[in-house]
Amino acid sequence: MTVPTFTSSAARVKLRVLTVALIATMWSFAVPRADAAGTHHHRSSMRTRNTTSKKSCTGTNCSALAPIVPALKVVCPFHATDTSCTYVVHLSSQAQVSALDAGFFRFIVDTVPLTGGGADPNGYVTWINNDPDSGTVTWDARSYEVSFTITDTAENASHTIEVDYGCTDTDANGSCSTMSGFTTLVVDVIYDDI
Amino acid sequence: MMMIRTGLRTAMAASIGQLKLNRLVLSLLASLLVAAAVPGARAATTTIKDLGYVNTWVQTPSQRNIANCPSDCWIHLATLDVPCESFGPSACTFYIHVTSEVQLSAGDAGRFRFKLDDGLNNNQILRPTAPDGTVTWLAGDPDSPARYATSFAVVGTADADLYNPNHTIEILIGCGDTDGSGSCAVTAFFSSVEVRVYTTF
Repeated sequence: MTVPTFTSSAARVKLRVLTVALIATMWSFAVPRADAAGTHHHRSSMRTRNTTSKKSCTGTNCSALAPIVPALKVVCPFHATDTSCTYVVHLSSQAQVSALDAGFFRFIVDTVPLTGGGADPNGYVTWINNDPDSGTVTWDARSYEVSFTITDTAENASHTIEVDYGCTDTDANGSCSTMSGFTTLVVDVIYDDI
Repeated sequence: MMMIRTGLRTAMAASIGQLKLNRLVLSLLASLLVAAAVPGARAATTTIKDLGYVNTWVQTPSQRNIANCPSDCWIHLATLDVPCESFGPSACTFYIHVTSEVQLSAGDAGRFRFKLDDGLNNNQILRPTAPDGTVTWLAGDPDSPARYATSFAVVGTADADLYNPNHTIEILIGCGDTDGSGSCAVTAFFSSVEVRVYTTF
C-alpha cells in the first residue's frame, strides 16, 4: 500500500483546507446550534457588578431599596410561530443586612412588579428575616431565580428587567441597612421557531 | 542674594511641583487609558448582551473537606475542560454556576475560587470576583457550623480557537480564619457545577 505524501506547499495548503472543511462539517452535526430552525432558541444577556453597594433607611418599619445593577433591556426576538418569550432571570449576589431585619430582592418587569414566577404578588423575595446574627455576618452569598412568559403584540419588543435589593426594619428599632457585594444577573430568553 | 536664592528655590520648587503634578496627571491619564484599553481591566459593572446559547457542561464533585487550616486554605472542587470551538465568533462567554451543601467553622469565612485557564491569559476574565478569582459565600456567622446550601455564579470570557479550543475552568472551595481563633474548617458535602457556553451572534 502506498501512503500518500505531501511535499509541495500547495499540497499542504490543500490538505489543510480539506481538514478544516471536514472538521467544519463534522462540527456542524455534533454541536447543538442556537439558531437552527424548528428548535428552541436561547439567548442570554448578563450584567455583573464588581463593587459594593449600600442602602439604608431610618424610621420605624422603614424600607429601603435600590437597583442591584442597572436594569437590563432584553429583546424578545422576531420569530415565526408566535410572539411569546419565556424569560429566566437568575441573580447571584453577596448580601448583608442589619440584625433582626429583613433582606429582600424585588423583581420588576417593564416597571411592573413580577407576579408569581417565584416571587410574591409584589415581586418580592425575602432572602433572610429576623436573624439576630445577620448584623455580624459580613457576607452571605444568595442566589435566586424567577421566570415568566411575555406575549407581545409587536416583533422584537424590548423588555426591561430590573432587580432591586433592599431591607425592611422588621424589628422596629428605627432603621435598617443592607449591602450588596459581587453580583451577577443573567437573563435567558427562550422562544420557539418554526 | 539670599532673596534671589530663595526666589530661585521657590521658582525651582514650583517648577518641580508643577513637574510632579504633570507626571501625576499623566500617570493618572495613562492608568485610565490602560484600564479602558486592556481587556483584563476590571470595570465596576460589565454587560454582555444577546449571546447565543451553545451547550451546557455539568459536574457533580464528591465530598471535599478542609480541617484545622491555620489561616487560608483551598481544596480543589471541580475542573471542566470546555471547548470554545467556533468559526464565526471571536470569543465565548462561560456562565459558571456552583452550588454546594456546606459546613463552615463558626465565625470564619467560606470562599469559592474560580479560575479560567489558570488566569494565564489577560483576555480571559472572570467577573465578578476579587482579582484572584475569590468570592466569599459566608463570613462572620456564629451559626455557620450548621449545614446549609450556598451557590454563586460568575461569568468568564475566552477567545475562540479552532485548533486549541479547550478552556480549563477550575473551581476551588476554601476557608479563612477570620475570627482569629487560629484555624478554620470547611466541608462541601454535595456540590454541582454547571458551565453554560455562549457565543456572540
